[in-house]
Amino acid sequence: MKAPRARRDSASRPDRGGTSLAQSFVTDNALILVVERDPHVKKLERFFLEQAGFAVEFADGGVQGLERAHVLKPRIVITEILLPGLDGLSVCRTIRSDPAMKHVRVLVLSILSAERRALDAGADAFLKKPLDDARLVETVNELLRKGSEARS
Amino acid sequence: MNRLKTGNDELDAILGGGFPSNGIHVLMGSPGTGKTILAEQMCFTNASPGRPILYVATFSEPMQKLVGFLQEFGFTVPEKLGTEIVYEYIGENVLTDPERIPERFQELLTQYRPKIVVVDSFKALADLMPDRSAWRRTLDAIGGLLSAYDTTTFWVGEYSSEMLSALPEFAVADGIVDLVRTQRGTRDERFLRVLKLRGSASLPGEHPFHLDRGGLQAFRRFVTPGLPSDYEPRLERVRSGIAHLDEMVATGWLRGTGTLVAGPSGSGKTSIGLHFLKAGVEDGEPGLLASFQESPVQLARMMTSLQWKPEQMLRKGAIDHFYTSPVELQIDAVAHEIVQRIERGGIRRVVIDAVSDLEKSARDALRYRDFLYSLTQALAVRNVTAMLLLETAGMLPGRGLTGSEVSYMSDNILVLEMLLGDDLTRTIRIIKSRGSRHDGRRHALRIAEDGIEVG
Repeated sequence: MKAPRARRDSASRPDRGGTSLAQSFVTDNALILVVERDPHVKKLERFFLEQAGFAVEFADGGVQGLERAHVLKPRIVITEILLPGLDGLSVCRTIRSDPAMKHVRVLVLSILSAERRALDAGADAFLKKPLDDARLVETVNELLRKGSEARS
Repeated sequence: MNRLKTGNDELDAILGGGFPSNGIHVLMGSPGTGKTILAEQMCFTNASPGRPILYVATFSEPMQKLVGFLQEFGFTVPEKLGTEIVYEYIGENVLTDPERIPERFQELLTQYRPKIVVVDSFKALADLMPDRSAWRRTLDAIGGLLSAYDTTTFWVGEYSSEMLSALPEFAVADGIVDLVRTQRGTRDERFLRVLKLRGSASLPGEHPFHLDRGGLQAFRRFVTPGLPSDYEPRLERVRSGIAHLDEMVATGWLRGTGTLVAGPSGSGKTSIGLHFLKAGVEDGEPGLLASFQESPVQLARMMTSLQWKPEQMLRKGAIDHFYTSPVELQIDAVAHEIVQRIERGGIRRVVIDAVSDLEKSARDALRYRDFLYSLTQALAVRNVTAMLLLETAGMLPGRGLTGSEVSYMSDNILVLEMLLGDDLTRTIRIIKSRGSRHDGRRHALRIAEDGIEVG
């Protein structure tokens, strides 16, 4: 005998934000650059962001993150604060001070309780780890929406 | 810090409010100690619409057994099974391709997005790995994944305390709770210990628990209470209810003190205790009789033989009778019950009949001494006046009086003796009354039809 299973189709399962994943903001495959060194967090971010319709690229450290941001021109950069070399707050400040990246939104996703520091460094949003996939997707959608409104 | 409730208030208190959320916790113990029951109890306590709880079984045919035995427990809500609590069996993966286990966990996490993950048995995963390094790689991957995601994890396993320093699971874990079952005579005793709880204050030591249809019921280890800031010792006298006994002590029996009444079976200990409680009722002081010998029927019979009306004595606000069998006596549970009844019922006098039963149920002499000290202090800080009855072997009090170290915790000591000649003669004497002059001579004790008399 197998025990009854939960429904698996994510489109019909209410998520934690009260909306279904299928109702997410239209993403048109927006590119997200994730600056993160933890392989487990990276795996989960890739899965949840791709499932929500985003394209995801990675950088392992702050310096590489800025280099890739220049080249890829992502819509959003998600960065941890604790990174080898250049830290996530410096990544945030550098992006904010660079006119070529003025449309790039920055989300700080960190193990540190550092929302104030992140916002002071110019981040558009802050989330604390561990990774809550519904809040992550919701926040990314919100940043994209704000970004679109600002551009238009 | 957010915490997960266990479904048992006492265990939550032991854990400082519950298991910290987003941690990895190990529930360890030998087979049959109650690990799975605790895990399931937590599942049903925390299940709700929205994100499900994922129960990962690693043994074959676990579902029939699990679902079958779960229905025996009061916490089970069958409607939650399969919706709010989902079961997955990964035994096949473990057997065929153990190194793919982390991948399987990632699939399950992303598929269900569970708020709690239980792996039962987690130890089985390690046992089936080809070698130690493969297990370390797997453990690192599973641990990393579960730590990265917003979920709280329980690894259930038949680990013993000898494995604590040897296995890497325990280094990864944020919390470790050890469930232990030991045999004392013909009965089993269970207790639990919190061996580790990162970033959280838990209550140290062994906490007893039992398993019943309600699940796991724990009791905090009874410890010495702190002195309340408004505590003031009272110099009021209280009556013993026995003619001429009160005059034998210069200052009388003081409120908030403890009196040890030691004597052999039949010497009149229980009768003295009942007189003490009756005097309290007459003076408007509710009393509590905690007895491990006299059942309610036997107590009513005793009161009737003293020409008292049991329905008057045992009414609400008079004497509260807390009876529990000495066979299954659990001392910490008894102490908590006594304190709760004192606070609920405004109890001013307590008789414990007999502390010798508590001694037999204590794990060892040290625990008994600590326990009794904590109990007498708990009564003293509440200004509750107490009588502790102690049954001694033989006609004269011997080893039992001092050997168990009860005497030094008592403010007063009454010794009862039985002299067997042609007639049975009972005597009473005061051998200690802290801070007070007293008559230390032996006096006759007579149990008459209408009560006790001291000659």
